[in-house]
Amino acid sequence: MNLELLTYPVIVGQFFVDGLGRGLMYGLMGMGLALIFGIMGLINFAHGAFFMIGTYLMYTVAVQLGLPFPIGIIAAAVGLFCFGALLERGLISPLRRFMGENWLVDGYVMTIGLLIVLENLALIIMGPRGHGISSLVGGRTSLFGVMVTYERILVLVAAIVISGGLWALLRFTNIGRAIRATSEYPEAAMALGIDTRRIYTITFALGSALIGAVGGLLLSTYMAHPSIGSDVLLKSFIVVIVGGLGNVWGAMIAGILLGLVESYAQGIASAGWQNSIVSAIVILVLIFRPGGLFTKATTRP
Amino acid sequence: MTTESFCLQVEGLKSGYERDVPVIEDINMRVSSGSVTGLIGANGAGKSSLLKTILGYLKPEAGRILYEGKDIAGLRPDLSSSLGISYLMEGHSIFPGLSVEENLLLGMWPWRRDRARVRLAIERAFERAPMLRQRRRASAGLLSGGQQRILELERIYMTNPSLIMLDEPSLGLAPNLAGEMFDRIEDFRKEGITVILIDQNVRRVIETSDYVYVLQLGKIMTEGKGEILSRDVENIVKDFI
Amino acid sequence: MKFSPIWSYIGGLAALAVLLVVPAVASNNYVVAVFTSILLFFILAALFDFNLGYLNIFNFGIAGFMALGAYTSALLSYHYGISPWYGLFAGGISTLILGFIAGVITLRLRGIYIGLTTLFLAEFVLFALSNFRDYTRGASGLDVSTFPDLFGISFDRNNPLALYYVLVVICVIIYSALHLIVRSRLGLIFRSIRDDQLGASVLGFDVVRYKLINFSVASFFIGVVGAFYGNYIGILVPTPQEFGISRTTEILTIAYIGGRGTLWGSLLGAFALIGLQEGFRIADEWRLVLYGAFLVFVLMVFPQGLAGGVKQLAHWCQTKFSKRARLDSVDSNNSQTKIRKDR
Repeated sequence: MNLELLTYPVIVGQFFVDGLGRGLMYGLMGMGLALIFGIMGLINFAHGAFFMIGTYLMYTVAVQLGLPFPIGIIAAAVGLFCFGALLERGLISPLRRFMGENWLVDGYVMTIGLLIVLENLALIIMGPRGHGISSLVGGRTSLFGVMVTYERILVLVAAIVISGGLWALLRFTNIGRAIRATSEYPEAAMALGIDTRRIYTITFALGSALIGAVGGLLLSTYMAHPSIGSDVLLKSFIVVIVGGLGNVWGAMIAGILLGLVESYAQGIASAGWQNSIVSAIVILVLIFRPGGLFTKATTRP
Repeated sequence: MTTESFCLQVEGLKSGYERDVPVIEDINMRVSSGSVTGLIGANGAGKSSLLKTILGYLKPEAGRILYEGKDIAGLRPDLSSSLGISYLMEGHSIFPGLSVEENLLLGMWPWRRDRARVRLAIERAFERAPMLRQRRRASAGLLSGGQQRILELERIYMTNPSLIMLDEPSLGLAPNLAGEMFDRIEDFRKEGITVILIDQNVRRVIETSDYVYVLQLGKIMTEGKGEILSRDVENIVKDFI
Repeated sequence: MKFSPIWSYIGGLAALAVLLVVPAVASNNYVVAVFTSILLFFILAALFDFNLGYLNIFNFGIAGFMALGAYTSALLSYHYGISPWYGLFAGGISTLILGFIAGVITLRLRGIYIGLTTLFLAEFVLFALSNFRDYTRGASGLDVSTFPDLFGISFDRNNPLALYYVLVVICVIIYSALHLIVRSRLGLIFRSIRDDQLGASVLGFDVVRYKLINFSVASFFIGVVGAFYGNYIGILVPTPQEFGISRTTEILTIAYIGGRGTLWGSLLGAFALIGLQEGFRIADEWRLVLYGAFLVFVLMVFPQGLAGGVKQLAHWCQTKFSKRARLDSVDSNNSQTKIRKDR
């Protein structure tokens, strides 16, 4: 443990910037999972696999086809939107109807099956080698003596855009209202003429698109590789548990916290320990505040 | 009499929550347009299940449901409600996390693309219930029980329905508010809206209704015109108390 | 669906016979390895089902628990020279403690939160094992010696049949224990808690105690199996592939496919999946795709799993071939219609 490092403001600042950068990534990862759980009560274990598909789509479009990277991110988002919608319509929805009340307790097992299939199909189809790029945007700058890469700024901008976009969608559009209403009281929503099956499909597709876009965005940090999803899934779980399972904004805040904790822990203590520290924090949260640190009102049990 | 003068006709309806365990059976009902029809019966008699089956929450095992001449049996609730049927569920049905105004906006969901129409409907609702306008941005969950019921009523009325089905509208309301509820139902009748009504206030249901069906254990035990039943009100009320 | 317990005894004996005889007769190390794999997955899946099927407790960290058992035994042997025979027991104890702690932590939690907590506990264990590199040799691998000779039998890894029979003995002991518990009053209490926790507590059952018993018992046995695994495999690394989420998902898949809530279903599940994978010489990646697809398939079409299928088959056979059973079922049909008419 090297606490002396904390006496240098530049180092504290560097840890902060790195931590914030990581934290934004983690927050973005968690948001899609939180959205799907908050509205549909489903914990999507295939979340990490969707991220992985996003990285592959991004690689194909931005690197192999050479198109500008924003198009790659959009391609990843659109691709995963369609994929998520098909999955929801074809597998998840019929199973939910079949399982009845058991759905809330057991529904996620199907997503586990999905996870296994997707990861291993990727291994078979794409091969075990990873494909990555060094960065979407090159270069770096200095802020009060602290080094900040343009890539990190890009992630910050993207986080703001995505969070803001999601917020605006849920708050101001008809479909956003319908989604919020369905998550609170599906029977009442149906009585008003809202097609709740379609809402679930759209919500799942939206969550998938979100994580797909994040996969595309983070291609330089998390390369396109079949098993990249496991780490992402674990981080997303951490973020979502700490932030509150259905809480989309809590996920972002929790993500930032997680990033900062990791950054400082890694800097001060020897490598490897930050994982144990983080796991310990999660366990503590689960014991004392299973609803998450930031939930005021949960929309789902 | 032709079928068109009947807003709703139910023939041989049978449905339930599980296979082979029917909650309602052999239900035959004829609801004239513009009339108020009451459903009474002990708890568990199947009244709510009957309304749920009509709207589509429960799939019928047998029978037909003719709404304005068309068979809507088995049609999903979101589709049947777009045909002009409004439904006030038992208990609370507002969206507590959404604002009062957002709740009303969702009331006009089938017409959401026509912004002018939606605006107009909401304005009219505010005129009828100024209390809602005052609290338009507040979370609907913060309203009192009576205020929430007013919000629910406006939400189902603003769509200009032909048929309104009410399940225990006066439940949980103070007696004076419950009285206002029944006055509102009278207003519905004056406007020519067909009403199907379930309420625990048996006396008032019989007084307000043109025709009453009495359910017991999932089947129709008695039916009759309001005035005839009024004479036997004491007997019927005694049976259920 | 009533059928005489004779069938379960016959089934059990038949299974035991197959397990004992086939590997010996085959005199082929490959077959022994496959059977060992089947048994390992079977008993772990059965333990998983003991938690899930009877109390709705989802132990998502089962692979990590196994790691603790394996490392306890291995480290005791490596650093202190304690015999792996005692290591089996020691592994069980350490995992029992972990399980007890996990049980206490998750007492107030429901459903998925229990799963997530056990997952993170297991991750914590794994990370701790990796971080104490000097002690556990971390990712370089900890060499584990095999069991020392007992009664003149050598347990050298070149002779895997002996090790296999050790596992058979372990599995028989564990399975009998689970079976007895499940069939006993304790099992009935478990199921009543599973179906209606509030109701059970109102009836006076100390739900906390029973959940802790269930989880601790399972954890102990998981530790024992883990300890055996260390000795069997010869080298331990605290990686996710060995002891992480993917291992847990394999175990849970077998439990689900076999039929959740039935312990013996896991044996069918293990035979089916591993048999399939080896029988068709399926490559490693496709094997997992198959697992995942089967899991989805079972959930959608056959939620009772293979065990459910067998039960239905048995019932069909019974009504076809037993006149008495046919009369019984006709009688019960009559009484059912009687009740309905009264409504």
